[in-house]
Amino acid sequence: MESTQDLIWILDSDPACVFLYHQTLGLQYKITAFSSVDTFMDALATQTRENPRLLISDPENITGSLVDAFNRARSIAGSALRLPEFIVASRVDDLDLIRFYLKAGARDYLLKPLRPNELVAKVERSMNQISNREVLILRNDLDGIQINDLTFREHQMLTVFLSRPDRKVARTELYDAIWNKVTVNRKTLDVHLFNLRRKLRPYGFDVICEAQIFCLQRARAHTSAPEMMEESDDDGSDTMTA
Amino acid sequence: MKISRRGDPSKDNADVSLDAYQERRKKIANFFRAHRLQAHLSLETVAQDLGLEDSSILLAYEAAVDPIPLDIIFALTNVLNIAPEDTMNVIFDTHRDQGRI
Repeated sequence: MESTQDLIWILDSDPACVFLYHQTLGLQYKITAFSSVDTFMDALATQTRENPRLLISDPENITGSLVDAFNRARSIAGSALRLPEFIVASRVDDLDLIRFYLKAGARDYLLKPLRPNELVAKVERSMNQISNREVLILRNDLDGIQINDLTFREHQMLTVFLSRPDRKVARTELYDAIWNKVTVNRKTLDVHLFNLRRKLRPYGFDVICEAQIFCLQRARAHTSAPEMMEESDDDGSDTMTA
Repeated sequence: MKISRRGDPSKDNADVSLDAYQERRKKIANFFRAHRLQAHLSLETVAQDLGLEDSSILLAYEAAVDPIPLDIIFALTNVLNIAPEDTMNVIFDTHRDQGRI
């Protein structure tokens, strides 16, 4: 089974700090460290399968400016580079600097020397916020067709399907992706799925269920409903033969 | 005999006859049974997909012994890959036949 450990990248040239990150976060996350912004950006550009979920950076300990590099990457039109969320960890306790990084998009600003428990708690919180937000970035373009009139949940559901290369999602995965840790009745999903299918079919798409796996695909040609059966005395457990 | 909209024969504010009510229930049950058989799925498989404890519950729905709850109608439509509009048509038609809508 594929590892589900999230990837965290560290941008810090201080070996002692990198050691601390490995010690405190290494059990929960896969850690990779870089010492300069250029090597980090190169690695990000060549990274095809696994994108880092979070970056922890010390701007004082690296060569190059992370914020400038991010701004340059964002300014490239049509760039497919997916920039990670980042946390700044620094020894500098300066209000203007903290304001600057938070304004630049940092999820948090940690003061060094780092306290392991605080680091773990804040990284966990950031990772939760990121995973929740990923579902919220809704998509409604289906092979170039804009699907309109979807509710929030239907949007989320469509986004989950579109995020999969084969557009196949197991029922349990669909629950986890949409409701995360909230317990909901299993029929809630069926109602939303019913409505999503109803809205997708006019666009030529449908969600087909096969052995608890839902697959978003082109709608099959509409076949006439099977003949209604007359009342029978059998137990109904047999299946119709072709 | 008259029964209420909620299926309780003891209520006096009834507007649907028991025969008509049972006829409607049978029509919806037959619709799903026919689709299940067309998909070559056993009662057990579909009951498991629906999260029902026992396939006898589904059998009771298909035999029109028990009315099919609305959430099960949604789930059956998804599990049996029935076009949602077909399900809605059957439900509307059965109500239309009874003069409900």
